[in-house]
Amino acid sequence: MLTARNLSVRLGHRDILRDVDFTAQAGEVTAIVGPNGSGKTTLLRALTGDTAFAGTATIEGLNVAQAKPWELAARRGVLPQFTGVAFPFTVAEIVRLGQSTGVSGGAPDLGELALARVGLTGFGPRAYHDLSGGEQQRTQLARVLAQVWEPVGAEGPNWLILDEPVASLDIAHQLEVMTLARDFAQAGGGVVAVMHDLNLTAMFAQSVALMSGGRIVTQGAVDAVFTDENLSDAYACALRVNTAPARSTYILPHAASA
Amino acid sequence: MVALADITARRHKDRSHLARWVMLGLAAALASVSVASLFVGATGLSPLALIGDFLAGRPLDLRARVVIVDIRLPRLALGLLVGAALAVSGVVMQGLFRNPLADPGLVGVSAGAGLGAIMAIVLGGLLPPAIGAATGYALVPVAAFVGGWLSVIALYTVATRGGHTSVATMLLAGIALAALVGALSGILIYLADDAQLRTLTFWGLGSLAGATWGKVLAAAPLMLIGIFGAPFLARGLNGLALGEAAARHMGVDVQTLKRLAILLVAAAVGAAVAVSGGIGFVGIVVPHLLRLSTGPDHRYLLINSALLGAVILVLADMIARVVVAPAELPIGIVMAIIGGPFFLWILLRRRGLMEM
Amino acid sequence: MIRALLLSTLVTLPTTALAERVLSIGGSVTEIIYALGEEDRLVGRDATSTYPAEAAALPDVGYIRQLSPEGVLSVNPDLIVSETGAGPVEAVELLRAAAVPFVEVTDGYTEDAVLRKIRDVAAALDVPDKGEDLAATVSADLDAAEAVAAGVTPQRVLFVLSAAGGRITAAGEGTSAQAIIEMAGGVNALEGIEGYKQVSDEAVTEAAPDVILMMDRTGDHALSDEDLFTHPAIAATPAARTARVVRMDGLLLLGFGPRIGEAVRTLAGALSESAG
Repeated sequence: MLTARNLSVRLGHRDILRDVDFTAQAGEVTAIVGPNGSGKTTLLRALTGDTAFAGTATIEGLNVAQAKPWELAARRGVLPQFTGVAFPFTVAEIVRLGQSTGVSGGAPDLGELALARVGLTGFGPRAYHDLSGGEQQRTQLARVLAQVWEPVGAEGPNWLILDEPVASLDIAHQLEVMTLARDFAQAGGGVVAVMHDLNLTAMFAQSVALMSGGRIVTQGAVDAVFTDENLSDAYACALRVNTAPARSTYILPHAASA
Repeated sequence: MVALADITARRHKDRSHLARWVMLGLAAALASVSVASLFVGATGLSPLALIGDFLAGRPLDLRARVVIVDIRLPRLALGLLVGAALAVSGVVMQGLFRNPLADPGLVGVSAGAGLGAIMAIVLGGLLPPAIGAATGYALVPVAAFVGGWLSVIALYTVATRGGHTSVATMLLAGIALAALVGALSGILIYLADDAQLRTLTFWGLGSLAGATWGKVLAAAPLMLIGIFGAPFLARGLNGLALGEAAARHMGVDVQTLKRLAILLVAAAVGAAVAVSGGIGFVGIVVPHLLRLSTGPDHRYLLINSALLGAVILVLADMIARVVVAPAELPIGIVMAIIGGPFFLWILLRRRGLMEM
Repeated sequence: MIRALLLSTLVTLPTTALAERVLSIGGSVTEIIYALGEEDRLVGRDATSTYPAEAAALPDVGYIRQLSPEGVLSVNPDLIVSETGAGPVEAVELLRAAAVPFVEVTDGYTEDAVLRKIRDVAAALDVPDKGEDLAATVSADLDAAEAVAAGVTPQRVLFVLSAAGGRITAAGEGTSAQAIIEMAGGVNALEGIEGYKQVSDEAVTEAAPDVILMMDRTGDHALSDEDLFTHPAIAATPAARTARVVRMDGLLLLGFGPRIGEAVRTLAGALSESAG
């Protein structure tokens, strides 16, 4: 389980997060949604220990604020929105960094396996900087996977924490990556993802936290959270939730005007 | 070296195997260059004759003993140490600042050491004669080392807030410090007399000519700490290549890594600059060549850089002491004249890889 | 220096033989050795030993302050005679360790200092009588030259070491240039500054030199009279108005060796000539 209790983050004189309570269960994909500036990424940064906060955050009982970096790394991998790579690494070398820098070192080389999982089979020898943005993002996902390869390890579930994992991907790769996340969760691991695309969220998440103005408005099952009223309030625009007819192709517009 | 550059054409095969072969090759090159350097010098004396005399129990020729044992050997030792220390420090700094152009000077060691040396050269005469006599020629190296350390500590303090060291602040503070140090040096240079100015100029050009066993023994521990300590930072530096946050996510204690990296570099570069003056170039070019050929993985890059840095410096020193024999060129000049065009050539050949 | 002399004496005593392979370091020392007629014993020289011209044929062991110990040993000297300031100290200690007698003679910018230097070099070469003879000759020559100089109207002389980049480096007090200017009957125009310093344009104007003294150089370093006198700092001086500049060979002018008399005579001559 991943939890946040009374989590607050102040930057300067501004409250970015106010008394946030958040829970994610292993075995589920938990999505964090909300409009720009609602505090999604800050919540994620608190959960990964990247920003100082008041309150408590835990991953599988580890206190995020006090645990050593390597203890946390053994339980969760983090995919940022963007990762700048300083030197001319190859794709395979980047993926191996997840394995060798992290804690699963000693295991057989997961590089090719991890690349296959993100649809980059055979990309290993290529220069990372020659890849497209989407390929780079999937390379980073493979690197994160290599770090926490087993959804459930000897000490319990492992976690993937993903910040807008599909932002720069085409639709096929969006589905591929989200399927990967769902598979990880179904195998017993935990997934927390900041999402922009509400439709993808509805398709893949079991639990959703809807944020607005630095608070979590509501958290629960997709059907309970994604109501016309909740979304329209949070995003400050009129939104209507529809259900796709079974077994039919349906291209969804992202916003509907009233 | 040329062979090394050719290998780069076939990049992106599995480079870790290549890196291991390069490591072996460099170790062999280091051994041969080291032996060769004992045979090369203005006097044309050979260590073999000396060893022969020694083994046969004959009395050793004093001049041969001084040339081989007191001149060439400490010089070789100092060349190996300084070359390896500067190259390794370059790699560590580039990893820390995530920039292939960072050099050890960025943490203020060189500027501070330079000021220390200038102070010792210009103001050393003002010390009470007793102290002057006690320190002797150790005054300049010691002052350089102390100056280097003081500036590193100053920069680290400025850049660290709440247990977090900002490398960007350190970089900017380094520029400010360099300006301040430059001004102070300027004042001292103005005060200097003709003889001191000459000494300053030659100090700045760098040389291994002043190598003595005393210097080697004093500076070796600090440089060895840097050379052998750095590989333990390799995994952390690899993680840092993806940014501080990503490194932390992968389990790297980033703050400890930064602190250790700065300490190691300050020790190694402080000692290197103190005993050899200003030898530039090694710290940027050696890591760059190796990154082009065997990739940026610090687990190999650090060790290979130490080896290649040592090879290059010993080679350059051999050239420095024979081309204008019986006089000799400052090694900084040799490095720049040979290394500059070579580096440009590599850059032109490999321009594609530079665009990252 | 006394210690160095004693040390060298101690080391050379057991051999008693005359040093036959002498390395001379410093332009004035080399000049003295030639003037003593002992040049056949020279096996090497430093970069500043450019007079007499034959000296250039000797192996050059580099710059006096940046000697390479092995380079020095490679000419296989059995005696090194050096001006003050040979270095680096490490190199000199290694030479001592190699049991090469190393004699450092003291420099100075007075007649006595020059004569003492001559006697010291002669003593190091074990030809004290020749040293006395040379000292007497040089002394007589210098006295005669100074007598000539005494007849020159005292003038303010500014020694310009360099005007590179338009910035003037000139000789202040306590310099060899001031000493030779005064021996030649002139007055150093630049007061209140110690040593060779870069000076502001205003300070040059304020110094109001009657004559500019420079080292005679060819090539890029040579500054034409026109460039010199149109330099903003110098343009406003009496020297520029009367276009008076004296150029002399640097080693002759500032060497303070056996040619000291010639230096004084030449400078004094040039001063009175340009005055007339």
